[in-house]
Amino acid sequence: MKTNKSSFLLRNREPLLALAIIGPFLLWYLIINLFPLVTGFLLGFMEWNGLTASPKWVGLNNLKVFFETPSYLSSLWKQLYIGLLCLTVNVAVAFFLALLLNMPLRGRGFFRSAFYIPSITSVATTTAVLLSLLQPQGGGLNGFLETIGMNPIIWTYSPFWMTFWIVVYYTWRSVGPTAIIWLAGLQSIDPTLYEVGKIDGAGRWQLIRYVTIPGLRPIAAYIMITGIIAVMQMWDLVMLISRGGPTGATDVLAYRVYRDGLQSFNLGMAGASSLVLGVLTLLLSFVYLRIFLKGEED
Amino acid sequence: MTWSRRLIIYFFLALGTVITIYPLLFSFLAGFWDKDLFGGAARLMPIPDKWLTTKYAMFFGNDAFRPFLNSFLRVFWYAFYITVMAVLIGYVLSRLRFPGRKLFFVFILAVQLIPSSLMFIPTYVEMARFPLIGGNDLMGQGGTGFINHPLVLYVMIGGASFMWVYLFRQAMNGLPKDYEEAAYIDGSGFFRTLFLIIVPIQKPIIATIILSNAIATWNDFLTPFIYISDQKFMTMAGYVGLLVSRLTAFGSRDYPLVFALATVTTIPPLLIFLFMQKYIVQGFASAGIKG
Repeated sequence: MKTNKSSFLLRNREPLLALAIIGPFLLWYLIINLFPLVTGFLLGFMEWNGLTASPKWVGLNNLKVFFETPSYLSSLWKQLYIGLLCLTVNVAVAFFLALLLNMPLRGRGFFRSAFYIPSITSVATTTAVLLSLLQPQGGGLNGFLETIGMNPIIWTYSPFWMTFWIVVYYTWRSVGPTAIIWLAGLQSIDPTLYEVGKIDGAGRWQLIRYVTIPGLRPIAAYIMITGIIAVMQMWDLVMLISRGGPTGATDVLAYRVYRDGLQSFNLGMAGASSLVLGVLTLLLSFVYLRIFLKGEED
Repeated sequence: MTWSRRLIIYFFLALGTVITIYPLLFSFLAGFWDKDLFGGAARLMPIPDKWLTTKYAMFFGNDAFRPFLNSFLRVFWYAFYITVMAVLIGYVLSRLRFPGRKLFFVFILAVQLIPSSLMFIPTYVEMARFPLIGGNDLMGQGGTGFINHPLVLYVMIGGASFMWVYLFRQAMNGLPKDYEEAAYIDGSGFFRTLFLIIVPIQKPIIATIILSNAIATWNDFLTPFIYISDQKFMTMAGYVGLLVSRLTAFGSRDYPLVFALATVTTIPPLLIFLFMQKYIVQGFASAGIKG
């Protein structure tokens, strides 16, 4: 018996070792995440205040309410357009910075570090600066406007300006890491391709079109997909900077999920909204991948 | 490159640097103000007329020191847990053969794609109804579960953390097996080989994992903001987030206090970054290239 047992252990040494190592981590991950994952899909079809009563199955009712209520639809729209605005500006500015950082200059390392610093600060600590600057009275920006002889602006009452500052803050905090990835992409392109192109008589724009852009495709896909996932669930900085205001102009859906779910305990509607957001996030990522892969073929 | 072009590029880079550093400097200076004076200051660069250290001193005085310690504890725990997980599982995935290996690898990639917005509310429900915690019975009723429970800041683990497993597995796949095989022939066991041979070789990527997770955990303000209400269990970022969220809601606005605490909160990750940036920046870039 004993020899049998030990030979079983010996014969299956690697699978058993793998199980013993992966098992505990996997188990803990599943304990924490399996229930939310399953419920995440089901919650949208229930009515529940999450406290005492049991959830009640209401089918598609929550989703119906979602798509028939203008404020939900406009929150979804705000998540999309504020999110995509943040993403586009960030990606574009980062690309510009990466081009500058890719030039043979002294002190590149210093600038690279400087641009990276905002991303290692907490959203909680740096939004306070923006809030203070935007104060209508005694705020730094209006003080500056007055010293140069312009009229002060009541920033917090203006949908345009609050959206603007959210985009500025998002870009400020994310541009460094995004530029680093662009830079890694630029530097991963084989320099001999440029040499060959030059010998064949390609101009600067042709080099960009036929060498740089195709070489950056995988990096662009990575940046866009991680970016889409990030902006589609962004609400922390919206909560701190504008509270969704003025009059709901920056009330993105993910912030609404937080308020529906954890302040009003309307878990069904929070679930339905998360479902819409989650599915849309996956869809956008797939669409982007699809376009990108199609481009790869030609 | 002509000198004029060079000048233009330096101008843009310098402008960018001023913009990136400005909020940190603002925060640092504004922490030296008196609350009422600051309310009417209206300055872009709030250099104080009178340098008061009372707000910075409040960090040691009342509420903030405990959250500061909690932040450190939490950082140690997650940097430790995720690094151990990444090294062990990444090594197993790269070197051991076992049934279901391919499937588990797909699992690791798939869980990273689950939108966290989908999990947010149900996770809260699960935490509130977790059995046998915080006064809950076996069915998860009767108590408050993990809500405002000190352990809630330590038990949660998201699918995104598997990115580090993936990264370590990639690093292992790029390493020839020669070193380990020599060690095995000399009679070294699995864990001995891992810790004495592999870990020293993979030091840079391990440093990346430790430091990136330390900074991310330190800066996470949403988890404590959502789950913790008791000051004793709060973290620093959560506490500052709470104060900032009150700036827009309530009447009394002690901006200088918020700025003093925010500045103190920014110091640890800033120090880590300044001294170890090689690992953080390169690790981040390599994650992008390989992902």
